[in-house]
Formats: sequence, C-alpha cells, structure tokens
Amino acid sequence: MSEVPQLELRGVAKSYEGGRVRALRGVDLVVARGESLAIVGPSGSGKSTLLAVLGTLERPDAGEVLLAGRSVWSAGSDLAAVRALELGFVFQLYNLVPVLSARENVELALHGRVAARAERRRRALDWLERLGLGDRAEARASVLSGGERQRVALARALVNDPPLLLADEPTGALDRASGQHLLAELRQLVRERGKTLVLVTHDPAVAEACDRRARLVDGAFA
Amino acid sequence: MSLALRNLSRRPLRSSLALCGVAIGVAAYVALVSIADGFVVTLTRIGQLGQPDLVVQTRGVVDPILSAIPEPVLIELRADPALAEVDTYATHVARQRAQPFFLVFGLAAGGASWRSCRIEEGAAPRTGEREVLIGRLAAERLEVALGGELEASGGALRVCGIFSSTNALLAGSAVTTAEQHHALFPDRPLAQLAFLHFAPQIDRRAWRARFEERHATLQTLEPSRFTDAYPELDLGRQLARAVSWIACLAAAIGVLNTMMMNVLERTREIGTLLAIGWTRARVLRMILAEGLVLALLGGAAGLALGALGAQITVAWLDWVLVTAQLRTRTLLEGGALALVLGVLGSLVPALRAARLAPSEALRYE
Ligand SMILES: Nc1ncnc2c1ncn2[C@@H]1O[C@H](COP(=O)(O)OP(=O)(O)O)[C@@H](O)[C@H]1O
Ligand SMILES: [Mg+2]
Repeated sequence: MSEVPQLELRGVAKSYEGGRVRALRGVDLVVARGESLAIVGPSGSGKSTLLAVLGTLERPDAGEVLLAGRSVWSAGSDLAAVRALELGFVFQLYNLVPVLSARENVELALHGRVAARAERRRRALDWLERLGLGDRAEARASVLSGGERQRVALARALVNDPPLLLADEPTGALDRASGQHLLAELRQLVRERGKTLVLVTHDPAVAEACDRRARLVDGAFA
Repeated sequence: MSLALRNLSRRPLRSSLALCGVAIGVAAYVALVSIADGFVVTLTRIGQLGQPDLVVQTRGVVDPILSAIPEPVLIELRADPALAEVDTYATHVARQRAQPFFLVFGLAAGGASWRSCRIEEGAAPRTGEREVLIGRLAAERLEVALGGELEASGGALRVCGIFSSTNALLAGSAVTTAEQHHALFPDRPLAQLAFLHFAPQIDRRAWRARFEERHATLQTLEPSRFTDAYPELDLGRQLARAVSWIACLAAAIGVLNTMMMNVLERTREIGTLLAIGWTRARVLRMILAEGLVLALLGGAAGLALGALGAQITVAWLDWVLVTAQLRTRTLLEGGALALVLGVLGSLVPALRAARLAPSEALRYE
C-alpha cells in the first residue's frame, strides 16, 4: 500500500490514576483512507480511551498518533485546527447545546473557522438538508427526537468536511429504526464521499456493517 | 452576544439573582457618590455667593464655619480702591425640629448676596429686634408664615419677611444683616468669609500676592475652587466609595458563584466544544462574554436605580444642604464598575473552562 494511511497508532499506551489503571497497553493500528472500522469489546476494555486518543482529546503516555501521516503531538501542531478540520466526532449522547437550534448547533463547529455569518448558515443548512433535517433546522435541540439529535450531531461533525469520522457508540442511545437510519447515513458517507470511519459499538449488526472489526480486551487488540 | 444571552436564559432565576446583585452594587455607588457630590456642590455655592472674584478666609480651617475675618481687615478691604465691593457673611446653625441643620445667615447689608434676596412679603429686619427674613423654600419646608417663629439659641426669632433667591442655599435658610446677626449670636463673628469684587483693570494676581503677604493668618481662594480648601470633603466621597465597595464585593461574589455553577454544569458541553475544534481562547471568551452581559444588564439597571435612589434619599432626608448631584462621570464610573464586576466574577470560571481537559470533561456527568 503506497498511500499514506488516514490514521495510524504506533505502540500507544495510556494509563490513569498514576499508572494503576492501564487503559491502553501498546496498541498498533492502521486505518486506510475510505475504510470503516468497528471497535468492539467488553466495557472497560479501553474503547473510549482509544477513540479519545485517535481524536487528539487524550495524549498517550507512550507511542505515536499519526493523522494522514503527521504526528499530532509533535511540537507546533495546532490541535484545535486538527480537531476541527481533520476529524469529526459523534458521541453516544449527541452532546448538543439544548438552547440552540439544530442549525446553530451545527454552526458551532464553524465558529473561528468561517468568518462570514451567512456562509456559516449556508453550510450548516446544507448539511442538515443532506441528512434529511431541512425542515427541523430552526427547532431547538431540546425538542428533537434522539434520532434527529444524532443526525444534527453528525452534521456538526461533517460541516468542516473532515476526512475522518470518529463515533463512540453512536447508535447506543437510539431505537432500532433510528439506529439503522444513522448507520445507513454513515455507510453512505464512507462509500460515496470516501470518508474514513472508526466507530465503537456493542451492536453486532453495526459492527457487521463495517469493512473491518477489531476487538479490544484489557487495553490491547485480541 | 446572542449566544451569551441564550446561555444565561437557561437558568433564569440564577442569572436574575446575580444581575440584581450587580444592580444593587452599581446603584449604591451611583446614589452615594451623587449625594456626596451634592454636598460639595452646596458648599461650592457658598463660595460663589454673589459671584465674587475672590474669597478670603482664615488660613487652614477645616470648615467655613470656623473662619473669621478680623474687623481691622474688613475696614482695610472696604477702603481699598482696587475693590469695587466687599461682601461678607456669617452663619449660625439654628436647630429646628423639622430640620436639624438650619442656617441663619448674617449678610453684609446692601452687599451682593443681600441684594440677591428679593423680599416678597413683609419687610427687612429692624435693628435691635429678634427678627429675620426667611427664604421661600425654608418657609415651605418648615411651614412657617410671616410673623411665625424660628427656634434659636438665646430665644425665638420672629419671621419679619419672606424672600426669594436664585441661590438655593439662601432660599433654604434664614437671613439677616451682619450687625444684627452678630448682636443675636455674639459668639459668631461679623464676617466669616469675605467675597471680593475687583474694580476694573486691577492686576489681581499681584493684589492677591500682596494681600497674603500682609495677612499671614488669612488665605485667598478662587470661588470655583473654594471646596479645594476643604480636603475633608473628600471624606464624604471616600465613605460613599467604601460603602459601595462592600456592596460591589457581594455583587462580584454573586457573579462568580453564578458563572462557576454555569461552567460546572456545562462541563460536558465545554468538552464537546473543545472536541469539535474550539480553541481555549474561544471558550474563555464565551464564558467572559456571559459574565459581561450579565454585569452590563445589571449595571444598566443599577444606573437607573442609583439615579432614582439618590433623588429619593435626598427628598426623604429633606435637608437643604443635601442635594444629589448626578454627574456624567459618576454614571460612567458606575458603568465601568459593572464591567469590572463582570470581568472579576467571570475570569476565574472562564479560565477554569478554558483549561478543562476535553476527554475528562466529556466523561463528566
Ligand atoms: N479519566 C479517567 N480517569 C480514570 N480512569 C479512567 C479514565 N478514563 C478511563 N478510565 C478507565 O480506563 C479503563 C478504560 O475505560 P474506557 O476507555 O472508557 O473503556 P470502554 O469505553 O471500553 O468502556 C476503565 O477501567 C476506566 O475506568
Ligand atoms: Mg466507552
């Protein structure tokens, strides 16, 4: 494979509480562009920690994290820009700002990146429409259904058009129908837009829908 | 700005309480300083009785009531061809039931201040009688009519006439001639202060220098800078400030508490913002903006409340000597104070928010 992988972990270790909790113990991982990977494993095995490390939210104690071939923790790297432009996060509990509308929630990801208000608005509406939420754009996040909220969160993750999507149990709080709807959106993004997807899931059906599965047990791939 | 308002509206009660705290702090500042300033203005008005060019008083006195111009100096001044007029006054504090600090002025007969009083009812006091003229404002406040009586040490004073004056201080007091005043209150001098009006084309600076050289116990003052001679007046302002600082400290703690709780409650949300690429500076600004919006809204309410409060307090005190002087500067200071309260109250919460570790914040429940 001559192409630089979308992301790569080399010997990543992370422990908490002064080394007493070893959440990740020397993890290696390569994910190619346009690939979708499901991370599975028992709870407490380090899945969320792994995703946080991939998303630059957690600095590993040892090892290297490379996004598109660049080491993210090297001196001079702009973490805020990496988080905004290189990757998009989707959380299990959506993490929307309840008092803001769907559109305003999506625009949050454009603050400080796109100066013009009208442009922010246009881009946010564009993504909401693509995800089938055009008519819900001005509704407050607090009145949306779980499925709608998660699609708003997906729009927020995508609005800067990052190549990599990270999702921690994205269907975990959704009913079956909403979960399938979201999964269909994610698969389409990978297939038609060439996004790379890494998600954590407990649901075998979701894991099956990905190109590859990796199982974490006690902070290491089994 | 609209984001800040929206975030504040999530906890309307909490936000309103912090807002009230700021309003009270700012209102206390504006009201108290206005009243202290009003006192200074009243005193300045004493120095400007009859619009003189220069005021003479005893050097270094802490209050005009302690000043006395010796008679030989008065004779010398009245004989000086460089002076077109020498006006004087003396005061006596006559305690009235309705107004504990009531002034009886003894004015130089025929002087500029005397002439500023227009007798509307009755006649001028007769020599040797215990008679005074009363200002229209004082007559209304004390509910004294022509022929009525005022209380004074050494016996009651009969009101022989009612006058109007453009000078609010005189209009709120009683007036008689310097000689009569000295006779009624022998422990008071003929003249406490002298107000000099120069003849045309006189070198005032040279005159002033010569006068102060000859009379080491006296000092001359510019009428507009009259109150500068009384640094003790600043005490009132300082007291006003000290009291309002305490109110403001409480207000700052109110803002701090509110913003601290806001940040704590929104930990996961702040973690999310960091995860979607917000810089720490942007998070800091968001929390600071919320504190500032809160403080500025409270400040605006406080300015209005303070201006109103000063008027109400003064009306309630019902003293002629106490008027509220609401200066633009005080309003600006009140606004600045609100700003400072906002920054003080939200800086620590904002720094805390900006320093959150994103993954830990995202785990926060
Ligand atoms: N911030 C933290 N402080 C202390 N322990 C943590 C922290 N984050 C994770 N852990 C611990 O690390 C281990 C892995 O956690 P996590 O990555 O959340 O697992 P999973 O997502 O697979 O359930 C667990 O034992 C968890 O308690
Ligand atoms: Mg987890």
